[in-house]
Amino acid sequence: MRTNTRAPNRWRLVAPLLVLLLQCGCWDKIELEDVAFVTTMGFDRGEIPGHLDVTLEIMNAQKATVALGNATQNEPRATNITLKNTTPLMVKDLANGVITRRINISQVQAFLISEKLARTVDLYSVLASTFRDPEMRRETPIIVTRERAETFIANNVPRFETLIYQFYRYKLNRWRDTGIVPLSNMNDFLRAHAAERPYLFIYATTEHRRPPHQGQNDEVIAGEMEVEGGDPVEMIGAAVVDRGKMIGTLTGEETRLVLLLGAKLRVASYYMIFHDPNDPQFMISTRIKNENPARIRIDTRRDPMTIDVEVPLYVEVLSIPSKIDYVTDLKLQKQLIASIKTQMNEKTEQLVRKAQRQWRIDLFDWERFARRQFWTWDAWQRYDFRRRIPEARVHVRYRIEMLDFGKQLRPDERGVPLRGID
Amino acid sequence: MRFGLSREQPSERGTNPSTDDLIGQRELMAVAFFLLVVKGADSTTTFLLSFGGNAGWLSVFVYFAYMLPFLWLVTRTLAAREGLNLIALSEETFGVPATKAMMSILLVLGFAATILNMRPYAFLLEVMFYAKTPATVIYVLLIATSGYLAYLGLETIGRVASLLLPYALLSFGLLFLGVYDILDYDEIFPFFGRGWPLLTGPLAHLGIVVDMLYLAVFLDRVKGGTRTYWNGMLSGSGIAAVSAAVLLWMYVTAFGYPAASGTLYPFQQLTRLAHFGWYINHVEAAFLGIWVLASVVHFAVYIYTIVYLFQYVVGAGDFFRLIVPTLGILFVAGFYPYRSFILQYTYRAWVVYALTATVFPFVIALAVAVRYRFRRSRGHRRAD
Repeated sequence: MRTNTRAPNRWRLVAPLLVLLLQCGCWDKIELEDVAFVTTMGFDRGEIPGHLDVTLEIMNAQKATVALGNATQNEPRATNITLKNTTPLMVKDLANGVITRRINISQVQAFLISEKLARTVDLYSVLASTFRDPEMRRETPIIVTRERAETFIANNVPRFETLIYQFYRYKLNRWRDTGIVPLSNMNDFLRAHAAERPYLFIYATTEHRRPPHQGQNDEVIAGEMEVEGGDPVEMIGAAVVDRGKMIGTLTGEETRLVLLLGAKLRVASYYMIFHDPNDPQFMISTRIKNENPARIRIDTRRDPMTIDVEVPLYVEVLSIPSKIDYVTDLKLQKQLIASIKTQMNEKTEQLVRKAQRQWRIDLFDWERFARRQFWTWDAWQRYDFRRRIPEARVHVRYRIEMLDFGKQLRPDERGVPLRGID
Repeated sequence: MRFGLSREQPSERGTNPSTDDLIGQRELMAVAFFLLVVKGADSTTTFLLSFGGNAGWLSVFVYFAYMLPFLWLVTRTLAAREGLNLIALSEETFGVPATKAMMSILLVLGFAATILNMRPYAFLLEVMFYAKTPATVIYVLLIATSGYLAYLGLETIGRVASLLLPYALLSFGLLFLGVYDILDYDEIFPFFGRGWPLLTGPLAHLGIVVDMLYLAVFLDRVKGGTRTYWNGMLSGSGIAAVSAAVLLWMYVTAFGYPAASGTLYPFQQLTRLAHFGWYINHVEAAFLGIWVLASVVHFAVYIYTIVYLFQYVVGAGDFFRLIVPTLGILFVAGFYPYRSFILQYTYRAWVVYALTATVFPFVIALAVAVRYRFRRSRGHRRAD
């Protein structure tokens, strides 16, 4: 006989109401109206040793709501607060001295660290105090600013982006393709720091200065671009951090080479210029594609170890201002390929020398590939890769897989080379 | 005198009269899965990474390889007297006093392991998600929900587990899709991580996976007896081993090594990194829901086992009346004031050593004794 398992009616009414208890979220319920979302956190050296000046850029979230747009049009899109001589997380409470809503750092789009702080203090100790907080997210990008982070935040008022978080989102997504800025974030920094590897941070500034040389294009660091107009922020190149401290900078082009040689620039497309081999005063513009990562072979049995890097490139020649017919003349094409390889090799050699002789670090993160040759962690640690890298014999070979000429068949013979234009 | 050793005993009050509180292979597989897989997403990962280093994911397979012979041994031993569970067989072989003594030890160790496992779950939820909610409240909720599921009986636990299994597997798949672009596959090298400790560590800490053998206590509740038990445990623990190994592998490749070994609550931190495209991020709540449900099933089995042993040891008449006192002890003991996780790990290591040193020799001794008796009785029959 089946027993009647239907619950009495009164319980059937009350039971769904119990679900409401789960909706209230105990003590941790958050009303969106009650929260002030921090978009950017900046860290500078405090006047007292061991203390930091922490700047919070708090977004006016109501600006994001179309319906409320008219009501909030007279309000600023963000407000900045700088608390002097404090710690990164103390500001979450202290800031309420001048801000009405509860500070929330779960939506922070970037941590900004001033170069002065990065060069003098172990960045791990600065960031460690933030990542223990549950609101902090490991994917948050980190940027080293040439000026004080406080100044950077104050100056960074993008022309088109009403909400500042969009600025960082769009900017970083663009760098994913071009490689002239490394994509640095908290998780990758912690990974590199624990393994005692150097790490590249995004380098940026809002203070422009006269470039040391003209016509350098991407061979500059932030603040040295030959540019007029646009947003106040210049973001190009990288800050090199080793053992927690900043030890130097890389130009945009060097940064891309580092990523390319470390097989970190995958399925990327970017523009590069080379001297015309038959008329060196002209620059040939190309679009480079990396459809395959670099092949890196490291022989740790040799002493010094050898590192062979083979970089496959797909080169698309887009502009030949000299009007030399590289398109149909195969002999000239060979010269062009040889010239591109030579120019790439020269730049690479300089960079490798800088890494091995000047900084004595594994700038290209080749350690990841050397580890494959060891079966156990103990054997790997005994090998002491870090100590051996400055003496390693490095051979880099560029392999141009295909030379293409865009959507134009040949240079227009009736055209006048650029030098004829005065 | 025997105490509640089979479902015919009056002390067993089933809540599912239609099926008489029996579970089948699917339920057993799901229960075994949740008993083990949650260990890849809680503080056990610290042990696993300490054994293998960046090859911590391999240590999961090492555990599986070590566990299989014991599982086979238990199955074969129980198959010799089909229809009896581990306690009944032990009583028949070693006698009631010895069995009671052994089950008392298992009960105390089971209690200690449950307490030392449960409290960190409450702290995890507090630290990672509910910063303002007192850990006590979270702990009470966890005990209450797990206890309620245990109260509903083994069949309900098995059904909930089998219902949840596809969702758990789906969430692992989604987690991989959410983080695949941040994984650095080179982090798994050197391939054998810390080398020998990869093999010796799990051997010394076999107690971590002893739950599998505890389940033999309810063999009389399994439809199909030892065959179902073997199939269910093998498939459940196999899927769990692969899932836990993939989780460990994701921790190492996402956080890097040695950074992963210093990361507390790696599963929760990994779910925070998950994102789908540019805009779909901050999706950890979806994974949290599945994880909490899996944890409730996990602890429901623990509580059910403890109550079962408790009932046997004290000779209580009603299985279900012991639930509330058991939950009360769990609650009070959970507040033992150790102040740091390091101490908690130390206590947990002791319990694991103790489990390793008692359960496995007991299983071997039982197998040998049953084999000896079986041979002797066969010899007697031949002589007759």
